[in-house]
Amino acid sequence: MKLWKKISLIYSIILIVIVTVCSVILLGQVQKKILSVTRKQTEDKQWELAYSFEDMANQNFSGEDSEAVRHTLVHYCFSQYADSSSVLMIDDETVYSQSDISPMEYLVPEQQESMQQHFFGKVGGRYFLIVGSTVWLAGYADNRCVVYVVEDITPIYEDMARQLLQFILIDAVCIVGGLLLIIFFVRRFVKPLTELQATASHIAAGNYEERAIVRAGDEIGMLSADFNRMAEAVERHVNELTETAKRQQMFIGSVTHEFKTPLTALMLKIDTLKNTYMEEEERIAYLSNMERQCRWLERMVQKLLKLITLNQELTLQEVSVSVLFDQVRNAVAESLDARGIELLIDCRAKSLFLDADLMQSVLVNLVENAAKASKEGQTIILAAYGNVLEVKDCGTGIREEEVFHITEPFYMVDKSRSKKHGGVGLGLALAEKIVKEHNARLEIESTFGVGTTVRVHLQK
Amino acid sequence: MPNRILIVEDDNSIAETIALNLKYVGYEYMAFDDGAKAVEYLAADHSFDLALLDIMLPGLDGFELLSYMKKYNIPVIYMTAKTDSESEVRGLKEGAEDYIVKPFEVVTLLVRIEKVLERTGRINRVYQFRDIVLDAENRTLTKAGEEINLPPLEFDVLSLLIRNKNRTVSREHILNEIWGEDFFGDIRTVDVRVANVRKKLKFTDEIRTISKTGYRLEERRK
Repeated sequence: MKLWKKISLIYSIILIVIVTVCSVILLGQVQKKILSVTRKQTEDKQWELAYSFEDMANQNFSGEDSEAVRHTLVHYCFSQYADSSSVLMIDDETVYSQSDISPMEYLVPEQQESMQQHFFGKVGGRYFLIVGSTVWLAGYADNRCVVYVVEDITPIYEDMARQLLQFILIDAVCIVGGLLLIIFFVRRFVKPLTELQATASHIAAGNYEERAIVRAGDEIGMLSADFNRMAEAVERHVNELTETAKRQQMFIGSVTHEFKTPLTALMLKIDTLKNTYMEEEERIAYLSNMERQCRWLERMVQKLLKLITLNQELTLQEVSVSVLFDQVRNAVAESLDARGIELLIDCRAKSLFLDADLMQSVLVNLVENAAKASKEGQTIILAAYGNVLEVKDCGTGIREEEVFHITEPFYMVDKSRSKKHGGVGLGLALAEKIVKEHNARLEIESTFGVGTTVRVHLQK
Repeated sequence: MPNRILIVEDDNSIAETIALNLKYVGYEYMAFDDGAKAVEYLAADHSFDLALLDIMLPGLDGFELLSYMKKYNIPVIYMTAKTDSESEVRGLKEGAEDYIVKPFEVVTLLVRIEKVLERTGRINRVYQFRDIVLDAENRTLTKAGEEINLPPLEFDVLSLLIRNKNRTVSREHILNEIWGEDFFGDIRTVDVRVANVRKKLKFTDEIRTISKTGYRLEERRK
């Protein structure tokens, strides 16, 4: 069952109960009042009748009147005041009556004896109120004279029935109107929730950029606002994951390509060795070539492995920069000598906090890259100042559009030349990763034809 | 005149190996590792019978090179690591003769080269081996100017060995090429025919038996 239906149902039940109870109480009060007023009126009427009749009759009695005269007198006097509801009884005999109801039949015996007599009830489908009281008549001093008013109050009951009907009608109208209002308002309150639910299901279906509408500052509005914040977080994370997956996909693609080419060459060579007649020297040259290629592949596997598994903790230490630079110089000395390139060390920092082995490999890599870009006789500067390590060359430089790519795995500015020098295209990617693990920043500044400066900005 | 083949491949190792194999079986070749350099060279000399093109190339890529090849009327076989059918469709639609996916076997490449040369009518059907001249077109064979008559199957076997000289030709390959793939006979039929050729031409040393594989016609360089 939907929320708006539940709320509407509960409110409707409450409304119906309240309206019904109020109506019943009100109607009961009103009808009681009507009945008591009627009763009072009837009593007054009876009293007036009894009093007037008693007075008139007693004035007219002379004392020696015959039975017939007294009877006529009483009859006459009573008729002067009587109407259709008046009844006069003397010793249980009806002297005067226009009503077809005999009061004696409805009055219980004890009541018949008392001064005041009342009856209230239903007779043959009609409601009657009977009020009676004894009178003292001089001519009938030994007799029991009772004056009754027999009031037909059926019209009052009919009125009351009509009233009840009206009440029911009014209640029904109120309840129906109330129900409509309740449904209208409840649906209005629930609408933002329905919209929120629709938004949520859209987001769940993959439309991460969808947002809920925030209508008001109430709880639902706050919920919508929070929901939007959540959706933003979800979208951001999903985008990050997608981006990562895409990068990995590309990485795997490059890895595959990078392996496929040397493997193709190797397979072709094996095929050739197997199926071709070759002279001894030729074959040995061929095999050395293959060996070189295998070593290159091995190196690439090592670097790849390093790139992938470089998530272990760094051993950060206070390292003397001059010692670090000496180690770098030793590592690159041979290859720089072979190319006739000079390395100048400008160390203006004492010690830095870093992982010596990994940072050394970064610097060696940067210096070797610089050497590849330099011509014979040029100088590479390895400098340190503040928190910055810097490798600067005056070589070919990198084109602006390529600077962003050079830290991508397998990206090579000059592919054929790099390969000739045994590069696998992972050096800078690895360097960047190591620098990132240090929470440091790698900055590459290059002007084509002028040279390149690479800086490692370490954290304080 | 041997057929001349243009190789454009940026991986030197692959290019060298292909070149070596082409040289051994008797083709002439030119190899470039850069599309633009190849085009530069073609302006002066474009008497090639076939071009083997890589797709991912520095300078001009393989697809860009195709228009130049068309201009000089050189049939093209692409060789690339791209396995997606999209580039295959593109390559063939734009007029390449064939397409070979890395890594491939040398024998496959040689067969495809031969097929393309045959299809485009550029194949040199006269083969030489020492003092032997085999004309596959007219089906004649001479040794030191003297005509030799060989039964058709033996002629075909010799022709196949000469076309793949210095390379081992497997029995299966011989069987498939000459008897056809539907042949269900004994593989030793090949041995019998080769033995006959060897005897008739006195090629005891020249046709070497490579154990468990097949035969090789060797051109010993002294």
